[in-house]
Amino acid sequence: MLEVDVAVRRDDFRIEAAFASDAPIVAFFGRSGSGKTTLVNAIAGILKPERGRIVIGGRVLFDSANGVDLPPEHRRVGYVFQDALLFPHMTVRANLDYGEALTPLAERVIDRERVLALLGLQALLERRPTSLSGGERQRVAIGRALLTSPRVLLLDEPLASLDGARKAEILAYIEILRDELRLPIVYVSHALEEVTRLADRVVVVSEGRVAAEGPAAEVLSRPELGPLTGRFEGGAVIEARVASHDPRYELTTLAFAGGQLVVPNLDALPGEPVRVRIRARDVSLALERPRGVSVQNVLPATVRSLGAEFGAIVEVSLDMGGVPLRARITRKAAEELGLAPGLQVHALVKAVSIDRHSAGFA
Amino acid sequence: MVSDIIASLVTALRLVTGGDPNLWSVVSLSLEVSLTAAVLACLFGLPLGAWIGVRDFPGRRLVIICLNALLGLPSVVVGLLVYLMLSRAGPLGSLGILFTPTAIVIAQTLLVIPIVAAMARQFVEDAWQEYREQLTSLGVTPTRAVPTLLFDLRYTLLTVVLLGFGRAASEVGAVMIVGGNIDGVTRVMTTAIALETSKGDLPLALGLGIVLITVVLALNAGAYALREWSIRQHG
Amino acid sequence: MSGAELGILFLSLQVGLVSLAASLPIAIGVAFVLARKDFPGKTLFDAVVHLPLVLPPVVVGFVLLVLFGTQGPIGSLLEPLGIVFAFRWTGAALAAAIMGFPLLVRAVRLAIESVDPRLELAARTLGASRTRVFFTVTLPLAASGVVTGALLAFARALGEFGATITFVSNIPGETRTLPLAIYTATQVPNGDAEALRLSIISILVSLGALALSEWMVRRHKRGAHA
Repeated sequence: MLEVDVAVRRDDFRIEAAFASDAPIVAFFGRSGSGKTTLVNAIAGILKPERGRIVIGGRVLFDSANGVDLPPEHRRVGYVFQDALLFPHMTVRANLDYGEALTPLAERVIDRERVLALLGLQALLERRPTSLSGGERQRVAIGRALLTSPRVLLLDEPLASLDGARKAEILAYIEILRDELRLPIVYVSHALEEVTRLADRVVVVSEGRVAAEGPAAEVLSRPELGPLTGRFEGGAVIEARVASHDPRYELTTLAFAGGQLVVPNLDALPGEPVRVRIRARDVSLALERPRGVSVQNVLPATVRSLGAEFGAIVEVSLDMGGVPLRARITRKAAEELGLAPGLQVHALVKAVSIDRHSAGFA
Repeated sequence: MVSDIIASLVTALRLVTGGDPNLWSVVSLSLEVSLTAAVLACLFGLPLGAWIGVRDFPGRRLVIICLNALLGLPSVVVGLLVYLMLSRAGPLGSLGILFTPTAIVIAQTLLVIPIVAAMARQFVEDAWQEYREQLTSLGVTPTRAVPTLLFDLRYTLLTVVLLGFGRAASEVGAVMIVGGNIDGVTRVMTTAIALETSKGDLPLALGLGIVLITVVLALNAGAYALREWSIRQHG
Repeated sequence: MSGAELGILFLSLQVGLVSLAASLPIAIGVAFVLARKDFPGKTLFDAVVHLPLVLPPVVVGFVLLVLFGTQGPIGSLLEPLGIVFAFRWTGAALAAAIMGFPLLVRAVRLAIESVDPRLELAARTLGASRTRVFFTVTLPLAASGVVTGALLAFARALGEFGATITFVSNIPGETRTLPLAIYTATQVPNGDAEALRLSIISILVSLGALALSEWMVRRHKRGAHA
């Protein structure tokens, strides 16, 4: 259980945040410079908040009212930095040993062999950090933090300095960590894909405040997120379950509260819970069910509201049996269709456009 | 003992402010000699350092190694070399300059040249990096760029002169060897302080020390202020 | 090399090494504080540390004489403890240590500043106290700078003249280091050859120290990059 209620100042930047989370993975999501890393640094004890309280698993790490301020070395927090920050003058083995050796035997609950196997580190043990690739370095950094048997794992934009293939590799590892080690994880990122895929709970940080907080699917579907995600990426996140696979056409059908979604083959077993993102710009609207059209997903929906207009474009908020969806269409189209709150329409989503990269397995 | 020191300090200050001829003749000789050495060192060292900074020429590495060697040598060794050159048995012995202020100037110049050259090289190299494109596009060769760069850096180079002066004025070992610390002829502030201290004559040593510290600190402060001013002027 | 010359060489080496050993820990501490900490009066402190670099050696020697002489404020306190600097080789070591101190501090400070402070933070999140971080992360990574500084200070100590002769005079066998011996030789009739021999010894030792440090730095670099 992570409880944070602090105000942190760094140079001439100030962030105030208050939230609590019990989720396996809670993500701090926001633009660069919004204060996410500052928050994480405060949790780790690297930055001292002006005031507030930080509690992890019932253990008070910081409490300005009672004069509690544990130094980083006593907080039992595992921190994986953006650039790994491995010690260049030590081998990988020595790096991994560094924190472990400082953890009292009684508190070493993480099995070393398991971590090495989980992250595939055996082959790297005698190498030096400078000879490792970005992905390898990040794995070692995660291993090093894990071997201190931390109470919580902080990951600060761990994928930022990696290329596409490495990103996928490490993302998979993080999911395994969450499932196998049952360690609470705080994941900091500005990448919507990563957050959609991994997070159970999202804290949206913007310009020094918490702009939104709550379960991932709900928070990430909010239209106010527009400025954060960028106009092109905004959309809805839907929680569904794998219903069936179509081996002939290599498609997967997902079932959710509002109906069914057909997507290109997802590597998941029937019954597995899945989170997918549907970009608003990929959603078209029709007053009648169209015929002879290539779109595979035609979902009945009700118009909830017509949102912000920018120039030629208008955002439409929809509701599919309780599940929110967003569509971005031209103002002209909205007028021509006579869209108004309460109107029953059909939402058309191309199967191809559903973001497979953000399909996360909850 | 503290009261003795204070008494000596008072006497020393009286010597300084009262214009004691003994003290001030030593001071004026020191300043003359060190200033001459600094100017000479800069005349040779600045262009040399600048040239090394901009241009690659055969033997450049050797020159750099020689300068670094001179920089790292104990000053008494440099003094000894000059002494051997100027002594009656040596190649330049017939000039009879050993144990004269001229010998001191030579020794101090040799000691200061590497410092000046090293500093000049660093400043000019940096400036060359900055202006290289502009100058080459105007058709200026590295060699011809040297005077331009030196002129542009004139305030910075002035600080080099001041620092060279300070270094020359602080030298004692080499000066003792080639000058002989002869009263009224080759006794400068540093060698006089060493002598007076060993004789146990504190007030004169203190007085000279005060003047020497003041001179050196003033030079360093001046160099620092000049640097700051020129940065503000030229950005 | 005659016995006397050997004696002078050993004295110089002894003075140099002792001055280095004594000033190194202090210099590392000072360099760390200057590199990583901020406090009121820091600029002044930095200037004071650099003072021996700026002041003429004879002035430094004179101040040492006043302070550490047998009748001086500090000297008289230390004498009953058996620590005497005046007219002893320990005084020569003290003079050399002070003259070389700013060089040491500068080199070590540069080296510490080149260590990414975030590495130190990472070590702390892994459970290391500040002291442990310093000895296991900061210092090893700054090692080559420390070696460079030590070399510079040692070379300075070997060539130290002004402060030594003013503070502890020129006592054969006790404070007559190589530079003082070279000077003495020139004051003696027919001593030029002797002076030259001593100079060559001095140059060889300096070159030896330089070569040794180059070798150590290269070895350290290779170790860190293998």
